[in-house]
Amino acid sequence: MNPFDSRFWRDFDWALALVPIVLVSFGTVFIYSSQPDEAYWKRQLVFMALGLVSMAVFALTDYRKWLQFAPFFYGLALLGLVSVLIFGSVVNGARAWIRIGSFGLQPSEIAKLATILMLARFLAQPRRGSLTIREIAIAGGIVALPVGLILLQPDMGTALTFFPVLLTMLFLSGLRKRLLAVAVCGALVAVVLAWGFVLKTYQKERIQMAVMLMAGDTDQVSRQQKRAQGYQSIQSMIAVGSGGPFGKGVLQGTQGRLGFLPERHTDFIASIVAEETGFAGALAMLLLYGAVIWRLTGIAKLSADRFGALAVMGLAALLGFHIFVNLGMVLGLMPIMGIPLPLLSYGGSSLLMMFMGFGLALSVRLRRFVN
Amino acid sequence: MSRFSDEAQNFDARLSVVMYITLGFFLLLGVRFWVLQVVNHESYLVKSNENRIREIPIPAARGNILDRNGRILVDSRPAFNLIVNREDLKKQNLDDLLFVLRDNLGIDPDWARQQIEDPLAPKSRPVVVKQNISEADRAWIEAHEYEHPELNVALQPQRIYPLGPILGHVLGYVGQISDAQIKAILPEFEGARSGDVVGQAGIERSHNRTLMGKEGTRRVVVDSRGRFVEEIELVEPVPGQDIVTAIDIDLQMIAEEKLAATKLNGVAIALDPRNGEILALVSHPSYDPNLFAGGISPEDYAVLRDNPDKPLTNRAIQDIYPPGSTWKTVMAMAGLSEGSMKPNEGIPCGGGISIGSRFAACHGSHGAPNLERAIAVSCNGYFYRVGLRLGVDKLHKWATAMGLGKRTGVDLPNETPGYVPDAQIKLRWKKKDDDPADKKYRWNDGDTVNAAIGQGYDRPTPLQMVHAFGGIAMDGHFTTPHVLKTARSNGVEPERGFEDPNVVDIPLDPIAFKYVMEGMRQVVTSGTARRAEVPGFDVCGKTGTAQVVSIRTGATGKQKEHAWFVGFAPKPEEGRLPEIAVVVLVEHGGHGGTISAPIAQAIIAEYVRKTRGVVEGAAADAAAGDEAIVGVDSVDLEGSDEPAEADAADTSGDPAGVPAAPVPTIIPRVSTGGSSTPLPAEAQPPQQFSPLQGVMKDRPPAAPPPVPAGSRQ
Repeated sequence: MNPFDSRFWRDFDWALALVPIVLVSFGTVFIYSSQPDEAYWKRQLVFMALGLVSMAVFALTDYRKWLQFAPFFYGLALLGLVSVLIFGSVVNGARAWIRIGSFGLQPSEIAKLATILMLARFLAQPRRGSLTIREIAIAGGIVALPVGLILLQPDMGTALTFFPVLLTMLFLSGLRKRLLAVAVCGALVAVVLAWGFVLKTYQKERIQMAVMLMAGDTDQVSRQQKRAQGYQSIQSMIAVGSGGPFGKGVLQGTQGRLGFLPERHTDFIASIVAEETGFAGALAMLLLYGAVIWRLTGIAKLSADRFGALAVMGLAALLGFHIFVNLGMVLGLMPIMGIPLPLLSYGGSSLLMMFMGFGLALSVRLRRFVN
Repeated sequence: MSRFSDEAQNFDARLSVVMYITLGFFLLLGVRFWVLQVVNHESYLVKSNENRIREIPIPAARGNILDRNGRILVDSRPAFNLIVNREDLKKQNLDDLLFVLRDNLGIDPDWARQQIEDPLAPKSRPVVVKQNISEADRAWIEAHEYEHPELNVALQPQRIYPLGPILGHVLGYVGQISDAQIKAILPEFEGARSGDVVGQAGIERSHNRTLMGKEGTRRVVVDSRGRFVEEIELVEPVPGQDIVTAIDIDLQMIAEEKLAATKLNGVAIALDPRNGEILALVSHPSYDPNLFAGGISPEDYAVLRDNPDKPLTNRAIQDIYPPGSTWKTVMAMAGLSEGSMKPNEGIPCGGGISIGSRFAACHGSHGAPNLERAIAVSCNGYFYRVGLRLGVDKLHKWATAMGLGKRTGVDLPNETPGYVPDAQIKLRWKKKDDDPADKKYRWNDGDTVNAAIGQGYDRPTPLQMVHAFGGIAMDGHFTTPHVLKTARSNGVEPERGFEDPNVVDIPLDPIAFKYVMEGMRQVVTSGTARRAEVPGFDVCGKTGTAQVVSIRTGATGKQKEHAWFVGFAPKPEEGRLPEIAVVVLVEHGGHGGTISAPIAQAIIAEYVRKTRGVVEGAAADAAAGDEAIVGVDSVDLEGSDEPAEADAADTSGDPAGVPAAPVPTIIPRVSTGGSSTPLPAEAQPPQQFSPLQGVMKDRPPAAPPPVPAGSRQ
């Protein structure tokens, strides 16, 4: 199918193409507000331009080509993850970046998309009945490789994002209810084990803090804990809460502009949005994200084959999980995990990956009747 | 319709489950946004304002204290202090900061920690961690603005007392308000908060609210590192009111000098009985209030506190003494008014009186003197008998009426009431387990006889004595002694004078008044206080030589009697009121007529010189105490331009951060060479401290104000 075909224009999902552009533009305003430095907002616009180009390329490419290319892409991503451990530079304690000139590339972002495609390819193989244990184990293995490499960086937050994707895709592929229950129990056991043996003290404190903040009252948290771990969460809650129904006005947020918020152009960009545009802005943001996920699910439903449906839903799960964890962090519902808000947060790799994903979804929709 | 290969997988239903879960999460986020932004918006708005808005207090200039002729007794000099903004310390490690302060600014870490962690001080108020910082310190702080935005230089006034220990007890000193003082909610500290510098003694304390003024504030926006962004509000401070005291520094200097010359401890007070204005008040030894101005070190304070001569005690109002024979004036007034005796009635001296098995002796044999003679020669025998006729109840009634044994209400802090006898006083002081019927708790004639001559249970303060004599000399018109003459207007509060809250008029028997006055005049003309005479000014008075230990013990050195003189001048007559009342008490000084009367004479002579210009027949009394008059070249000393030694007590520059004070000078080094003493009072022109308020480093004052040379460390 090509753009000169009238069906192209009929089946092109305009909403899915436009809403992300709106979200990125919206986010750029607040990147400017929190870091009024050309380096940030201008680059974000450059990334969006690159993202739009890749979206177009992916949309015009027949997504079924990825059935073929997925292993290659997956292998490339793994190679990237290995090389970042060798050549990467450390930012915020994790060796997650490969510097190319003045730009940095995060192979873990690309790995997310590659893993989704690889999983979709594997799970889309024709079969009857529910997934077998062996199939589940292989799917787990596909995820375990990149996760293991990412944990070596170490970047716990990014590593975590793979699991909801895996779970969603397994579930949609016909995971038995019994197995689902076992998986949930296994996850709980893993959490307990992690608490006992894996997590470092500072990580535990963050989680304890988060539980306290969930109650909503920052005053309950002791002074000591505030200083130690809760500072970022509390400052973010203050930013959000002080925004009120309609916000302090764009470029008027004191929490962000006076520097009380950490990582305000990346992980805490939503705090700035909420502070400056209030509940109205926050609600608009939620609705826009909701629209994107709704469109993705719609495409999955229309997909002509299982590969397309699973790939699109993997992407939707990834996006949903990012949104929930990031906003949860901003709202004091989740511990600080260093997970950006897709499309709004400053960051090129994530943006490129998201737009490629949307391009893929568009391609799935365009080719829904072609079989 | 089922798609893909297998209906069992039920893809569409599973997709719906995923969608509902996602919707649930989104709803949760939406609700949370709503709770934070709509339901709890107000409290977060307050928190965000607390984050960014700092209230920087601007100290109000404390009022100056002047003598009655406008000469500076106390003023303030600007000093640079290092302050730490505690709100900006939140994210910092305090230990690291304390190391930085120690290594670069020489501040004792333990002391600084105490200041910074003071739990009572409001978090929003910066704390001073080093006073009087040097030029080099300021340069360092400004150079490290970026690393340490919590450190600021503030221009804050420091109190200076140019006269040093002279008038120390009257002026008092300032210091940070203590936790106990905040909790006690004292009227003089109303409106003061932790960290405020308030008056701790003397006028500084009793008139603290007048002097303190009202702090101003700058509300500024700061960033997360505490750096200045912009000012949003400025409330100018209201300076404190200047206080003009009733003190006449010339009289004060004479009194200080003369008392110091005795090398003994004592009190001298001069007041105007017509209105209660205290013209001079010396309690010797004194202390130098400058020691306290920059915060006294515990060591220095211990030296003052533990000194056996009690330099911190204002003996004029905080110590009580047996009044000795000066009490006979009170007895004479009471006896005549109650009709216990007639003025011309001769009452036998008898060399003393027998009370039971005991004989109370007189110091001589005076035959049967009448009242005037009995006062003039201070006959004990006469007054023993008057006392017995009068009885303790009436004695108590008259003594109390004259303000003895109760606080005078003077505007100085911590006045003690003292006591005078009544029939129940012994019972009140009974040991807990003793039988109240015990004979030793019953008032007896022996006690009355003792009380009649100012021993036993008579214990007034020196100020009460001069207050009583002044009131008697005013024909029963008792005014409240006070130091404040006027509080000048500060632009907000109008000028106000002293309003006497407690004027007491006791109708005195005119005959009694006449004879008592005459008796006291004879004390000076031909009795025990001849050395108190100032020719042409009709000084009246009464000496006292109060026993300190039992009469049978040897009376040498520290056991010598307290020497009293209480008097006034001129003698009241038709159309003439007394103008000055004086008390002089020298502890263990021996005879009042020998040691105290000459000091009173010098004070009164100086008063006469100042009000009349000359002293008739100066030096006529060869005895003593006349140096004050001899050798005065210039009558008007107020024009003197002698520079003050104001910086002698500068307490800056101790590297440990605790301002070190020089070794305390407890005994004022006053020249005994008479009026040639320089008059430090005429220090500098009244230097109004300009409220250059809590300067933040972003806006330093253009140039530091000139500081007197030699004040730098």
